[in-house]
Amino acid sequence: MNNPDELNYIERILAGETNLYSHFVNSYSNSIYSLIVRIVLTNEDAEELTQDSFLKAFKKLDTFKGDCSFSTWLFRIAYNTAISATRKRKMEFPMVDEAMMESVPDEAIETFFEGDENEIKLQKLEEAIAKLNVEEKTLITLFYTEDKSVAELAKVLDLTNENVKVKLYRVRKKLYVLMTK
Amino acid sequence: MNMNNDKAIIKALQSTQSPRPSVDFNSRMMAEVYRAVERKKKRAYILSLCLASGVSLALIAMTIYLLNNYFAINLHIHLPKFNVSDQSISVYGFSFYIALLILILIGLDHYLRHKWLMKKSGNDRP
Repeated sequence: MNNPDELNYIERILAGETNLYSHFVNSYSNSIYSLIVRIVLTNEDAEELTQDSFLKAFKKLDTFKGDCSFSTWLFRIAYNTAISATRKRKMEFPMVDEAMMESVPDEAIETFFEGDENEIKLQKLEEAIAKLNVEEKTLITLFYTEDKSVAELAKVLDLTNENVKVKLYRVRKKLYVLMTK
Repeated sequence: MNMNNDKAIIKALQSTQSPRPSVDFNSRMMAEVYRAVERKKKRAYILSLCLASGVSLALIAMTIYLLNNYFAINLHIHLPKFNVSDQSISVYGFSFYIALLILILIGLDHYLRHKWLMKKSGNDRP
């Protein structure tokens, strides 16, 4: 669904055609749920928070200006909702030595992540992804599985484009260090 | 830095794809949305009612204030005195009886009509 379609749907929903909101629910519920479950880790909480996110979006629909896609706007709401939920409980993430990260050459990382045939490597990578903090998980989930651009990621996480690029670059290094140490 | 070639990360993320939300999630979600719309309508109705009541009270208060302080009008109303005779009491009694009878008949009509409509809507439902 492109932007004009989304805006048309939103205008009609705001005019009273509430049932049209089901198009957004059907289109994005899986993606939003996938992102939230990576952040909060339990299915029950993820489902509740997904519902909260969609409800918040519905209530604030009149504030959507169309300067980004509806999904980016929705991901931002979902991310903030999940972050608020995780603040209530203490979550600990392993720290990675900065010097160790800096010492990794870029070429090594590119070659390392290019291949996807090694099952053991993939399993280690899954474990390393689980050790990332919430922002890092959100970044790689949206970048690699939702095909979001750097600009869209910047909108979701309320960061600058440059900041997103740096963070993505560092996440790859962190994953490499977590896997190889 | 070319991150589009990070096939391993993409594959790892896809393989750890979480289970999807429950099957009836979307329908439950829409039910919640409809409930939210109803709540919003109810809130707007209560708000408008409060607003109308407030404005009405303010107008009444303003009228009383103006009449008391700016107009020389005597607000005391003297009701005429009634001398009720025995003959008029029987007329009043008869009128009261007729009025009561009409009220009972209207009430009965409303009750039976309501019952009939309920029965009809019950039969129409598949």
